[in-house]
Amino acid sequence: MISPFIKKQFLLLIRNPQELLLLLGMPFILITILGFALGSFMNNEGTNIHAKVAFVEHGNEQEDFKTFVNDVKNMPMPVEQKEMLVKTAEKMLPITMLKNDVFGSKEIQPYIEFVTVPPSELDETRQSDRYAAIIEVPEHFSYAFLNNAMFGGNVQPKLSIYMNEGKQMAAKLVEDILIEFQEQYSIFSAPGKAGVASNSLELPAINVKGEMETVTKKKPMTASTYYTVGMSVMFVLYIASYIASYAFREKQSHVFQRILLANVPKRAYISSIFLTAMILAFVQLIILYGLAALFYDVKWPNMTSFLSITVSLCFAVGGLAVLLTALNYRMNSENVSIFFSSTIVSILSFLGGSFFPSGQISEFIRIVGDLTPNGASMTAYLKILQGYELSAVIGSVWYLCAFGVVILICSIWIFPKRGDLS
Amino acid sequence: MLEAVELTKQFKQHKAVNKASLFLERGEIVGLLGPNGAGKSTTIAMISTLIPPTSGDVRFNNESVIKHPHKLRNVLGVVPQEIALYSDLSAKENLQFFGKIYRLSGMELKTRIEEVLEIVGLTDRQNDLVKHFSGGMKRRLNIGVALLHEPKFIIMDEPTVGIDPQSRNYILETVKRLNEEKKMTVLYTSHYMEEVEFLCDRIYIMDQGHIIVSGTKEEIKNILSSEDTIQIKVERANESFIQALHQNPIISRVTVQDGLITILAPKEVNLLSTLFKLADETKTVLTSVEIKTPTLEDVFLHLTGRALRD
Ligand SMILES: Nc1ncnc2c1ncn2[C@@H]1O[C@H](COP(=O)(O)OP(=O)(O)OP(=O)(O)O)[C@@H](O)[C@H]1O
Ligand SMILES: [Mg+2]
Repeated sequence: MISPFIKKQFLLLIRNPQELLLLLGMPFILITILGFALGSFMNNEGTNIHAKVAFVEHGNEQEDFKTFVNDVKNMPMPVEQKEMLVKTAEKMLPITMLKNDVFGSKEIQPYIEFVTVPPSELDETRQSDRYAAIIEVPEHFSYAFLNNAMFGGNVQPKLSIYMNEGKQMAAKLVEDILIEFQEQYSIFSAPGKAGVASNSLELPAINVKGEMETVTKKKPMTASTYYTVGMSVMFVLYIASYIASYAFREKQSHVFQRILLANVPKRAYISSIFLTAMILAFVQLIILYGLAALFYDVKWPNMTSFLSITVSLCFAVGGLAVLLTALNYRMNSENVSIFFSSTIVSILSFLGGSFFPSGQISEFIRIVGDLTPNGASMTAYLKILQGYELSAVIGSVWYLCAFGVVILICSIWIFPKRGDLS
Repeated sequence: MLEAVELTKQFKQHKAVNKASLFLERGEIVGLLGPNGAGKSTTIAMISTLIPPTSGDVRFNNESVIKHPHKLRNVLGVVPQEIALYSDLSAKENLQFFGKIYRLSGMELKTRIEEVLEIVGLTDRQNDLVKHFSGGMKRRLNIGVALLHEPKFIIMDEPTVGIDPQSRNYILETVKRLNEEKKMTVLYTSHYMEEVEFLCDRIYIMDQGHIIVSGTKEEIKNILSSEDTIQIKVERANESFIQALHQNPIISRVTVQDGLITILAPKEVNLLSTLFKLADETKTVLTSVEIKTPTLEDVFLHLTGRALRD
């Protein structure tokens, strides 16, 4: 009973290039433009980024170095070899390098302000929004590092890095710098390896492993990724108004009368609107995310989570489509869906953060934004992209489904009875 | 049998239909005639269960259809006054969609579509989008969609408005054929007298929400049987001749339009000799004299004092 409705709507849509342009072309163009504009802003005009990085040292590198030298002195090996080890180790001190050669370099200094914070203030620092990243150095890090580098111990020393979700671009910059540092370090350590090679000491590649943990557990992301999600959840809303407008035109052109005369129950018609919108929304999202994966490398770490959010978002869009249809029929004009697409979508998208992370403006906007179907799904999508599990976003998934069901029920109630239909 | 009993429809201040009663017997073609705004479409919408009447009843086989419209809908085809089609779909796709919502499928649907395309003469154009159709073709498909589920009753609301004479004739012939070959009962709405005269066995004439007269063509025309209509053409318009016509006691009405003089007079009197005498007296040369049988148009004029179409 419902499948002819769905098939018909697909045929009508593919014959209507204008609608296709709005539903697929526009969002893709915007993802491209915004992704490039803000992506290049990150790479070239870095002067606009000013990040503060907090450095929390639990131990003391000089102490660690002394301990290491002491250890070496007590080792049963020739003196020259001991001297060479100590000399190499001195050049390899990781924290000193990080402070002076990396964050202290004149290339990086303009962007990043390096602040040493005492360990006692770590928690407070984690709560504050001032820093783009916090680098936490555990006690005896350098000692462990040197041992590992020189003697291949099996304890891998780890740096903990906290990223600030709110300062995504700056945090991304810090992350890139650290990765770069990691790579260069292993190259740099190669001569040292050659120096001790005669003594058959294996030097492992650098193993400083930045343990990614963040203030609210978020990984930073690129502008393309952000806007892929932002634009997709925005433009999926247009499916609702497209379907509702079309449904109203069915009434105007008296096609709806024919549908009634064919004894199609009202609830079947409403279900067909719901399902058509849902399926169209799903296809639209899959195409947009597919293109983004292809062209902008927006990859989903977990397909189940991705599909759960997508389906629940489509559910909400189906509900919206029915609501707008019911209101159009009730008011006997297309104005409701026109108003939705011309005004409401923009407001929802602003609140939901499709244009920029508007939740940062105020807590109020963040809460209201998360109540919008697009905002709720955007938050969930971004979390999944940052490596969260489905369990972290399951609340949003249920919320979107409930949103769809509740407005579906309201719409059935709003939809005019037979007597008021002409 | 399908019957409307004292149907009334009140739209806010305006009474669109006022106590209209009519019935359809199996196998008939019944005409519903009336000028714009008479309430024809509203009456049809009530009969076809699309809107509920403010008062009155619609009965199908002696059961009210207002609460339970399904039985009637299953055997009813409605051709709306508007082109109720998807213009971005082809003729065939439209028929497929509407056929499926009438729960036709598979081979049955396929054969029905072929038959309908044949009936409305669109087999060659079935794959063209409706938006590329001419007005007449759209009208034909509009009818075709209503025939898909082989209805026993078909209600057509002005199915020939705004189309060329060929398409119009085609449609009229189609309606006649459906009635004769498929034994379909037809309620045909129009404001064209000649269509209704051509097609219908019985006629209802509607004006301002009321059914003002009903019956067979002959019965209705007999309303005017007591008077003759005579049309006269003269060589040169002559005031004194017209004056004389007006003053003659046996002539009941005189109208002059574009040099054509129309007079009404009781049947019994020998009007022609009177006419020739008056012409002779006023030195008027008559170029033609025609005694006309009354049309439904004349009946409408007689009953309402207004022409059917402006
Ligand atoms: N939904 C409505 N609300 C208010 N008034 C209406 C409505 N539908 C029809 N009318 C009014 O009822 C009257 C009868 O309309 P209807 O469409 O039945 O006439 P009609 O005989 O079909 O005319 P036409 O030949 O122009 O189709 C008109 O005055 C019209 O304006
Ligand atoms: Mg009408």
